[in-house]
Amino acid sequence: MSKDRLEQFVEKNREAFDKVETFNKELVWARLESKTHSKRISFWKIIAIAAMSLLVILGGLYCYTIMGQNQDFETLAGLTEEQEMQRDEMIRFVNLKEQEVKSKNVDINDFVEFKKELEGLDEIEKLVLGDFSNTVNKEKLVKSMLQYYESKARILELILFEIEKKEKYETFDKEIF
Amino acid sequence: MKNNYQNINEETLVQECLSGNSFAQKELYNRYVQAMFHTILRMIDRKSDAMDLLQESFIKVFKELKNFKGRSSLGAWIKRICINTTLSELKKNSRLEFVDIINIELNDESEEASYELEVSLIHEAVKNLPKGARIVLNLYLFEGFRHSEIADILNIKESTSKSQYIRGKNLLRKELKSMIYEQG
Repeated sequence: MSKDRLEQFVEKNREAFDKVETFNKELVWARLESKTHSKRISFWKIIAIAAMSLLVILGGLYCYTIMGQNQDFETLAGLTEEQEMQRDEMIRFVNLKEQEVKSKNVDINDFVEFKKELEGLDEIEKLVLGDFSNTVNKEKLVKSMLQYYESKARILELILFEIEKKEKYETFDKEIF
Repeated sequence: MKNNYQNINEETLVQECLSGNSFAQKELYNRYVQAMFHTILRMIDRKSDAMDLLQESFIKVFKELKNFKGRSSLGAWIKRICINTTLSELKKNSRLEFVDIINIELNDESEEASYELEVSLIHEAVKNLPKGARIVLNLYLFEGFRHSEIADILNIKESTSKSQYIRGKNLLRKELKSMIYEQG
Protein backbone atom coordinates (compact mmCIF):
# COMPACT_ATOMS: atom_id res chain seq x y z
CA MET A 1 0.00 0.00 0.00
CA SER A 2 1.51 3.29 -1.09
CA LYS A 3 1.92 5.99 1.51
CA ASP A 4 -0.11 9.15 1.27
CA ARG A 5 1.15 12.66 1.86
CA LEU A 6 0.41 12.63 5.60
CA GLU A 7 2.16 9.29 6.14
CA GLN A 8 5.16 10.41 4.13
CA PHE A 9 5.38 13.62 6.12
CA VAL A 10 5.27 11.78 9.46
CA GLU A 11 7.90 9.29 8.30
CA LYS A 12 10.21 12.04 7.10
CA ASN A 13 9.86 14.10 10.27
CA ARG A 14 9.43 11.23 12.75
CA GLU A 15 12.14 12.39 15.19
CA ALA A 16 10.70 15.91 15.38
CA PHE A 17 7.44 14.44 16.73
CA ASP A 18 9.32 13.31 19.84
CA LYS A 19 10.59 16.80 20.54
CA VAL A 20 7.41 18.86 20.21
CA GLU A 21 6.68 19.30 23.89
CA THR A 22 8.97 20.16 26.74
CA PHE A 23 8.66 18.67 30.20
CA ASN A 24 10.73 18.48 33.38
CA LYS A 25 12.45 15.14 32.94
CA GLU A 26 14.60 15.75 36.04
CA LEU A 27 11.45 16.01 38.14
CA VAL A 28 10.23 12.65 36.84
CA TRP A 29 13.67 11.17 37.56
CA ALA A 30 13.67 12.60 41.11
CA ARG A 31 10.26 11.03 41.77
CA LEU A 32 11.43 7.77 40.23
CA GLU A 33 14.57 7.77 42.38
CA SER A 34 12.63 8.49 45.56
CA LYS A 35 10.34 5.52 44.81
CA THR A 36 13.34 3.27 44.31
CA HIS A 37 14.93 4.63 47.51
CA SER A 38 11.71 3.96 49.43
CA LYS A 39 12.17 0.32 48.57
CA ARG A 40 15.76 0.49 49.78
CA ILE A 41 14.54 2.08 53.02
CA SER A 42 12.14 -0.81 53.55
CA PHE A 43 15.09 -3.16 53.07
CA TRP A 44 17.20 -1.32 55.65
CA LYS A 45 14.24 -1.18 57.99
CA ILE A 46 14.02 -4.94 57.80
CA ILE A 47 17.76 -5.16 58.54
CA ALA A 48 17.35 -2.81 61.50
CA ILE A 49 14.40 -4.77 62.85
CA ALA A 50 16.30 -8.04 62.38
CA ALA A 51 19.28 -6.58 64.25
CA MET A 52 16.97 -5.40 67.02
CA SER A 53 15.35 -8.81 67.32
CA LEU A 54 18.79 -10.40 67.51
CA LEU A 55 19.75 -8.04 70.29
CA VAL A 56 16.55 -8.77 72.21
CA ILE A 57 17.28 -12.51 72.01
CA LEU A 58 20.90 -12.02 73.04
CA GLY A 59 19.81 -9.67 75.80
CA GLY A 60 17.38 -12.29 77.05
CA LEU A 61 20.05 -14.98 76.95
CA TYR A 62 22.45 -12.70 78.72
CA CYS A 63 20.01 -11.98 81.54
CA TYR A 64 19.19 -15.67 81.86
CA THR A 65 22.89 -16.59 82.05
CA ILE A 66 24.04 -14.10 84.66
CA MET A 67 20.89 -13.80 86.72
CA GLY A 68 21.60 -14.99 90.24
CA GLN A 69 25.30 -15.69 89.57
CA ASN A 70 27.06 -12.46 90.24
CA GLN A 71 25.09 -9.44 91.19
CA ASP A 72 28.09 -7.13 91.54
CA PHE A 73 27.73 -4.27 89.12
CA GLU A 74 30.67 -3.66 86.90
CA THR A 75 31.17 -1.45 83.90
CA LEU A 76 32.84 -2.31 80.62
CA ALA A 77 36.15 -2.99 82.27
CA GLY A 78 36.26 -6.43 80.68
CA LEU A 79 36.75 -5.06 77.15
CA THR A 80 40.05 -5.63 75.37
CA GLU A 81 41.92 -2.67 73.92
CA GLU A 82 40.85 -3.59 70.40
CA GLN A 83 37.22 -3.97 71.43
CA GLU A 84 37.33 -0.63 73.19
CA MET A 85 38.71 1.00 70.04
CA GLN A 86 35.95 -0.53 67.92
CA ARG A 87 33.32 0.58 70.37
CA ASP A 88 34.74 4.13 70.58
CA GLU A 89 34.83 4.35 66.79
CA MET A 90 31.20 3.31 66.51
CA ILE A 91 30.15 5.68 69.29
CA ARG A 92 31.95 8.52 67.49
CA PHE A 93 30.15 7.63 64.26
CA VAL A 94 26.74 7.48 65.95
CA ASN A 95 27.43 10.81 67.69
CA LEU A 96 28.38 12.35 64.37
CA LYS A 97 25.11 11.19 62.79
CA GLU A 98 23.15 12.46 65.80
CA GLN A 99 24.84 15.85 65.42
CA GLU A 100 23.98 15.89 61.69
CA VAL A 101 20.30 15.18 62.46
CA LYS A 102 20.29 17.89 65.16
CA SER A 103 21.89 20.41 62.79
CA LYS A 104 18.93 19.99 60.42
CA ASN A 105 16.64 21.49 63.09
CA VAL A 106 13.89 18.94 62.57
CA ASP A 107 11.38 17.60 65.01
CA ILE A 108 12.22 13.93 65.60
CA ASN A 109 8.50 13.35 66.27
CA ASP A 110 7.98 13.77 62.51
CA PHE A 111 9.69 10.41 62.10
CA VAL A 112 7.56 8.32 64.45
CA GLU A 113 8.68 4.90 63.22
CA PHE A 114 12.37 5.78 63.36
CA LYS A 115 11.91 7.37 66.77
CA LYS A 116 10.33 4.17 68.11
CA GLU A 117 13.20 2.10 66.74
CA LEU A 118 15.77 4.41 68.29
CA GLU A 119 14.03 4.21 71.66
CA GLY A 120 13.89 0.43 71.41
CA LEU A 121 17.60 0.32 70.67
CA ASP A 122 18.38 2.60 73.63
CA GLU A 123 16.54 0.19 75.92
CA ILE A 124 18.58 -2.70 74.59
CA GLU A 125 21.78 -0.71 75.02
CA LYS A 126 21.05 -0.31 78.71
CA LEU A 127 20.38 -4.01 79.05
CA VAL A 128 23.41 -5.19 77.11
CA LEU A 129 25.92 -2.74 78.53
CA GLY A 130 24.60 -3.05 82.09
CA ASP A 131 26.92 -5.77 83.29
CA PHE A 132 29.36 -6.67 80.60
CA SER A 133 32.01 -8.36 82.71
CA ASN A 134 29.63 -11.03 84.00
CA THR A 135 28.70 -12.28 80.56
CA VAL A 136 29.87 -15.76 79.67
CA ASN A 137 30.30 -15.25 75.93
CA LYS A 138 31.94 -11.84 75.72
CA GLU A 139 32.82 -12.08 72.06
CA LYS A 140 29.19 -12.55 71.08
CA LEU A 141 28.14 -9.68 73.25
CA VAL A 142 30.77 -7.39 71.77
CA LYS A 143 29.47 -8.26 68.29
CA SER A 144 25.92 -7.55 69.42
CA MET A 145 27.01 -4.27 70.89
CA LEU A 146 28.69 -3.23 67.66
CA GLN A 147 25.61 -4.31 65.74
CA TYR A 148 23.57 -2.12 68.03
CA TYR A 149 25.67 0.93 67.17
CA GLU A 150 25.53 0.06 63.49
CA SER A 151 21.72 -0.23 63.59
CA LYS A 152 21.47 3.08 65.36
CA ALA A 153 23.76 4.75 62.83
CA ARG A 154 21.71 3.33 59.96
CA ILE A 155 18.44 4.61 61.42
CA LEU A 156 20.00 8.05 61.83
CA GLU A 157 21.20 7.88 58.22
CA LEU A 158 17.68 7.02 57.10
CA ILE A 159 16.34 10.02 58.99
CA LEU A 160 18.95 12.21 57.24
CA PHE A 161 17.96 10.73 53.89
CA GLU A 162 14.27 11.46 54.55
CA ILE A 163 15.14 15.05 55.51
CA GLU A 164 17.19 15.51 52.31
CA LYS A 165 14.38 14.02 50.23
CA LYS A 166 11.91 16.43 51.80
CA GLU A 167 14.25 19.37 51.12
CA LYS A 168 14.72 18.20 47.53
CA TYR A 169 10.97 18.13 46.92
CA GLU A 170 10.53 21.55 48.46
CA THR A 171 13.19 22.89 46.07
CA PHE A 172 11.44 21.26 43.11
CA ASP A 173 8.10 22.71 44.17
CA LYS A 174 9.67 26.18 44.30
CA GLU A 175 11.11 25.69 40.82
CA ILE A 176 7.81 24.61 39.33
CA PHE A 177 5.36 27.01 40.91
CA MET B 1 32.37 9.01 35.82
CA LYS B 2 28.92 10.00 34.66
CA ASN B 3 30.05 10.68 31.08
CA ASN B 4 31.58 7.20 30.77
CA TYR B 5 28.10 5.75 30.36
CA GLN B 6 27.04 7.93 27.46
CA ASN B 7 29.01 5.89 24.96
CA ILE B 8 28.51 2.37 26.24
CA ASN B 9 26.48 -0.11 24.23
CA GLU B 10 23.00 -1.30 25.11
CA GLU B 11 24.04 -4.70 26.45
CA THR B 12 26.64 -3.28 28.85
CA LEU B 13 24.22 -0.58 29.91
CA VAL B 14 21.60 -3.19 30.79
CA GLN B 15 24.17 -5.21 32.78
CA GLU B 16 25.28 -2.12 34.67
CA CYS B 17 21.68 -1.22 35.45
CA LEU B 18 21.04 -4.72 36.72
CA SER B 19 24.02 -4.49 39.05
CA GLY B 20 22.34 -1.44 40.62
CA ASN B 21 24.59 1.21 39.09
CA SER B 22 22.60 4.43 39.43
CA PHE B 23 24.67 6.29 36.81
CA ALA B 24 23.82 3.59 34.26
CA GLN B 25 20.15 3.74 35.27
CA LYS B 26 20.13 7.49 34.75
CA GLU B 27 21.82 7.04 31.36
CA LEU B 28 19.20 4.50 30.28
CA TYR B 29 16.48 6.90 31.41
CA ASN B 30 18.08 9.83 29.53
CA ARG B 31 18.36 7.81 26.32
CA TYR B 32 14.70 6.92 26.11
CA VAL B 33 12.73 9.36 28.25
CA GLN B 34 12.03 11.96 25.55
CA ALA B 35 10.62 9.52 22.99
CA MET B 36 8.65 7.60 25.62
CA PHE B 37 7.11 10.77 27.02
CA HIS B 38 5.78 11.68 23.57
CA THR B 39 4.55 8.13 22.91
CA ILE B 40 2.49 8.32 26.11
CA LEU B 41 1.42 11.91 25.54
CA ARG B 42 0.02 11.17 22.07
CA MET B 43 -2.20 8.52 23.65
CA ILE B 44 -3.29 10.30 26.80
CA ASP B 45 -3.00 14.00 25.85
CA ARG B 46 -2.68 15.50 29.36
CA LYS B 47 0.91 16.40 30.20
CA SER B 48 0.67 15.79 33.96
CA ASP B 49 -0.90 12.35 33.38
CA ALA B 50 1.80 11.57 30.83
CA MET B 51 4.51 12.42 33.39
CA ASP B 52 2.88 10.15 35.99
CA LEU B 53 2.62 7.31 33.50
CA LEU B 54 6.19 7.88 32.37
CA GLN B 55 7.36 7.50 35.97
CA GLU B 56 5.26 4.38 36.45
CA SER B 57 6.57 2.91 33.19
CA PHE B 58 10.22 3.44 34.09
CA ILE B 59 9.67 1.88 37.53
CA LYS B 60 8.41 -1.20 35.65
CA VAL B 61 11.34 -0.99 33.24
CA PHE B 62 13.92 -1.12 36.06
CA LYS B 63 11.95 -3.80 37.91
CA GLU B 64 11.54 -6.03 34.84
CA LEU B 65 14.92 -5.35 33.23
CA LYS B 66 16.18 -8.73 34.43
CA ASN B 67 13.58 -10.31 32.13
CA PHE B 68 14.75 -8.41 29.03
CA LYS B 69 16.13 -11.11 26.74
CA GLY B 70 17.21 -8.91 23.85
CA ARG B 71 14.69 -10.42 21.40
CA SER B 72 13.79 -6.86 20.39
CA SER B 73 15.75 -3.66 20.82
CA LEU B 74 15.76 -2.18 24.30
CA GLY B 75 13.91 0.86 22.95
CA ALA B 76 11.15 -1.30 21.50
CA TRP B 77 10.87 -3.24 24.77
CA ILE B 78 10.61 -0.04 26.82
CA LYS B 79 8.07 1.35 24.35
CA ARG B 80 5.85 -1.72 24.83
CA ILE B 81 5.96 -1.21 28.60
CA CYS B 82 4.99 2.45 28.18
CA ILE B 83 2.15 1.59 25.80
CA ASN B 84 0.81 -1.20 28.03
CA THR B 85 0.99 1.01 31.12
CA THR B 86 -0.88 3.79 29.31
CA LEU B 87 -3.52 1.41 27.95
CA SER B 88 -4.11 -0.05 31.43
CA GLU B 89 -4.63 3.46 32.76
CA LEU B 90 -7.04 4.33 29.94
CA LYS B 91 -8.99 1.14 30.53
CA LYS B 92 -9.11 1.84 34.27
CA ASN B 93 -10.56 5.33 33.86
CA SER B 94 -13.01 4.80 31.03
CA ARG B 95 -14.41 2.23 28.69
CA LEU B 96 -12.03 1.79 25.85
CA GLU B 97 -13.82 0.28 22.89
CA PHE B 98 -12.58 -0.37 19.41
CA VAL B 99 -15.48 -0.91 17.06
CA ASP B 100 -15.01 -2.47 13.66
CA ILE B 101 -16.54 0.18 11.45
CA ILE B 102 -18.33 -1.90 8.83
CA ASN B 103 -21.38 0.26 8.19
CA ILE B 104 -19.47 3.41 7.48
CA GLU B 105 -17.95 3.93 4.13
CA LEU B 106 -14.25 4.02 4.79
CA ASN B 107 -12.80 5.93 1.96
CA ASP B 108 -9.22 6.76 2.58
CA GLU B 109 -9.49 10.42 1.76
CA SER B 110 -5.94 10.78 0.67
CA GLU B 111 -6.55 13.68 -1.66
CA GLU B 112 -3.71 16.11 -1.99
CA ALA B 113 -4.44 18.78 0.54
CA SER B 114 -3.68 22.35 -0.27
CA TYR B 115 -2.37 23.17 3.20
CA GLU B 116 1.18 22.91 4.50
CA LEU B 117 1.76 20.13 7.01
CA GLU B 118 3.53 21.05 10.24
CA VAL B 119 4.81 18.84 13.03
CA SER B 120 3.35 20.92 15.87
CA LEU B 121 0.00 21.24 14.09
CA ILE B 122 -0.30 17.49 13.55
CA HIS B 123 0.74 16.90 17.17
CA GLU B 124 -2.07 19.16 18.40
CA ALA B 125 -4.62 17.73 15.96
CA VAL B 126 -3.93 14.16 17.13
CA LYS B 127 -4.89 15.20 20.68
CA ASN B 128 -8.38 16.13 19.48
CA LEU B 129 -9.16 12.73 17.97
CA PRO B 130 -11.55 10.27 19.66
CA LYS B 131 -9.69 7.90 21.97
CA GLY B 132 -10.04 4.66 19.98
CA ALA B 133 -9.01 6.14 16.65
CA ARG B 134 -6.22 8.13 18.26
CA ILE B 135 -4.64 5.07 19.86
CA VAL B 136 -4.70 3.02 16.67
CA LEU B 137 -3.46 5.95 14.60
CA ASN B 138 -0.64 6.59 17.06
CA LEU B 139 0.45 2.96 17.16
CA TYR B 140 0.43 2.64 13.35
CA LEU B 141 1.51 6.05 12.11
CA PHE B 142 3.94 7.16 14.82
CA GLU B 143 5.12 3.98 16.54
CA GLY B 144 5.39 1.89 13.40
CA PHE B 145 3.42 -1.18 14.51
CA ARG B 146 1.75 -3.35 11.88
CA HIS B 147 -2.02 -3.88 12.06
CA SER B 148 -1.48 -7.50 13.15
CA GLU B 149 0.68 -6.26 16.03
CA ILE B 150 -1.84 -3.58 16.98
CA ALA B 151 -4.56 -6.23 16.97
CA ASP B 152 -2.43 -8.22 19.40
CA ILE B 153 -1.66 -5.26 21.68
CA LEU B 154 -5.26 -4.05 21.86
CA ASN B 155 -6.85 -7.47 21.71
CA ILE B 156 -8.95 -6.54 18.68
CA LYS B 157 -9.35 -7.89 15.14
CA GLU B 158 -6.88 -6.83 12.50
CA SER B 159 -9.75 -5.48 10.40
CA THR B 160 -10.81 -3.30 13.36
CA SER B 161 -7.31 -1.87 13.57
CA LYS B 162 -7.37 -1.08 9.84
CA SER B 163 -10.79 0.54 9.91
CA GLN B 164 -10.02 2.56 13.04
CA TYR B 165 -6.79 3.72 11.42
CA ILE B 166 -8.52 4.96 8.26
CA ARG B 167 -11.18 6.62 10.37
CA GLY B 168 -8.48 8.25 12.53
CA LYS B 169 -6.57 9.47 9.51
CA ASN B 170 -9.67 11.00 7.93
CA LEU B 171 -10.61 12.70 11.20
CA LEU B 172 -7.06 13.97 11.54
CA ARG B 173 -7.21 15.56 8.08
CA LYS B 174 -10.51 17.24 8.96
CA GLU B 175 -9.05 18.47 12.23
CA LEU B 176 -5.99 19.85 10.45
CA LYS B 177 -8.13 21.67 7.91
CA SER B 178 -10.27 23.18 10.65
CA MET B 179 -7.22 24.25 12.67
CA ILE B 180 -5.65 25.89 9.62
CA TYR B 181 -8.96 27.60 8.81
CA GLU B 182 -9.16 28.93 12.39
CA GLN B 183 -5.60 30.23 12.16
CA GLY B 184 -6.71 32.21 9.10
